[in-house]
Amino acid sequence: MSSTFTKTLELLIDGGVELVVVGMASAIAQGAPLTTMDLDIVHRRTPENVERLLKVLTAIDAVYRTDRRGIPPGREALLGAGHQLLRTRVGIVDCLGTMALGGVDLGYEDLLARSISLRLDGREILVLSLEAYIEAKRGAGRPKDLAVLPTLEATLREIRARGG
Amino acid sequence: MEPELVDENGVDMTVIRWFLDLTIEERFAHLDEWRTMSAALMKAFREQHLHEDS
Repeated sequence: MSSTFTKTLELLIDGGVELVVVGMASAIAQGAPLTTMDLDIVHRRTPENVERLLKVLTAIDAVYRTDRRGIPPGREALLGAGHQLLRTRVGIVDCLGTMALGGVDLGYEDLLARSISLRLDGREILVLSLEAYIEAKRGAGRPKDLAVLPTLEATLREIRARGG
Repeated sequence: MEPELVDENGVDMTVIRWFLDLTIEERFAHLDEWRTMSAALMKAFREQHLHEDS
């Protein structure tokens, strides 16, 4: 049986949504033994891609998780640079218009150069590289970000030792 | 030379190596296990405190 993240990503990829997986899920995908509840993605903010994303989000009953009224995300919000924090019937999904890296907010196109391609259940997914994620965590600088740096750095060191 | 078991920051390298040896699907599956375990622990914690408060 597929896990929550695998299932959610399969739905997004099969729905033709162009995205980069960022956040802790990107590090876990690359082998960092950490945990998270939410799947963070930065999606391409073209009208066509937002339409595809909205279709998948509607199919999985996405609503804002910070609002008790059960409001679904709208097209305009997903076209913007902000963060849409959602809960769905397959788990928590955060759709980010941009993410902060190196002191600037980067969108999908900017993140492509800082991403790597992985295979998930026969599908290609783009994830933020571990190097870039470490940079983002260091830049965020909050205690919760700094706390995971030793594990992220040890993972990166081991990947490099293995020739990755 | 023997591979290090714990690095200079105290990170258990055996866990790092074990997780790296898994497929992405297996890594994500472990997250679900953690969530289930975490939810059970939270439930037990709440029930214990409800019991203590009553």
